[in-house]
Amino acid sequence: MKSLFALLLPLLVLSGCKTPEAAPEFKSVYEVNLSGLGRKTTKLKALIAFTNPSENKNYTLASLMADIEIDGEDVGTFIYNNSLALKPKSEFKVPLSYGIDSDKILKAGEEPSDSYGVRLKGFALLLDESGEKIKITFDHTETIKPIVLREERKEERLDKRSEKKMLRDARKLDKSIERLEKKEK
Amino acid sequence: MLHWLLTFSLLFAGALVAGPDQPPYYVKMKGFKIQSFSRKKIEILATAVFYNTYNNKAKLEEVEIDVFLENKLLGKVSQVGDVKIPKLSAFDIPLVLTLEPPGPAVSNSLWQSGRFLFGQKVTIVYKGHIKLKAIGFIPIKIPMEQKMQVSIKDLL
Repeated sequence: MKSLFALLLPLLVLSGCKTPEAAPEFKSVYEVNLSGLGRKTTKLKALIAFTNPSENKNYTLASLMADIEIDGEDVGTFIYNNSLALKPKSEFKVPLSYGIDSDKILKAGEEPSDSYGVRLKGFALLLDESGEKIKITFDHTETIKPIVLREERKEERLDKRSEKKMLRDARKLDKSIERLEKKEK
Repeated sequence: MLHWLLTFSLLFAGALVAGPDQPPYYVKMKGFKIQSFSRKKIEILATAVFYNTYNNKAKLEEVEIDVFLENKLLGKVSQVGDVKIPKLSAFDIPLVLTLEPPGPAVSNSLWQSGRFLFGQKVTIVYKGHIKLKAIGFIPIKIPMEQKMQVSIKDLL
């Protein structure tokens, strides 16, 4: 009887040590990009990723809110209201797309910088199968290079061309003035 | 022909009138800070966040928000700059509360008691509404109320 108890005791202890079901958690933010700088509205896009490590529990994303800071300045708040299913042992990404008034990033006459510090701070509200709410907070900061769009490149090229043309015209004008001055002499 | 025209115009009008499931709503306040601080004038900045549930851009028509300190009216906030309201998106309304010169409510509640200046928390309430108009919809009032405990540290 004693030996049977000695055999069962470790089993009982081990079964009591079963770890609790892991809850969904914030993973990272991917593909952060800033485009359209210098236009009226600058577009910020990113993918906010979460994981559900649970073996069998399903969750639903109810909402997500993220305060956006660029170079330490608050530029707006992004809210995602669509519901998304989060299956067991999976990862899901919430697409962030937010139009920022360019005046909040660039002051008048200022040229776009080579890099910007982007901070996304907020939370996601998930619902489990019983309808209970779970709040997952996140705070992600990263330095990114702004994207120069094709059209902006075109504009830059056109600007350079017009600058060159202006220089050529100015030289021609100088030469013609010199000629006139020589003739007068 | 007239019958079809009437049907189409009714359907079009219906599509315009049919709004979203949920009207635009208040989300939160953020970014409290003292912009300027002197004997004659105090300016407190804050940003109100709302969400536009319309699938259309909207225009801000009115901001009517009072600020209360320890249940006493401090003043009305003013909107700072233009506000763009994109469709199906959160939008910020920068607000400034100007106290010039500090009225009796401020003196009694803030300065004489000294609680606020000595770092103790005081209760500030932002309460009121904004009015916005989306294309094809009648203007709508969105109520807001935010109560918070603020110390001078939070504003500096």
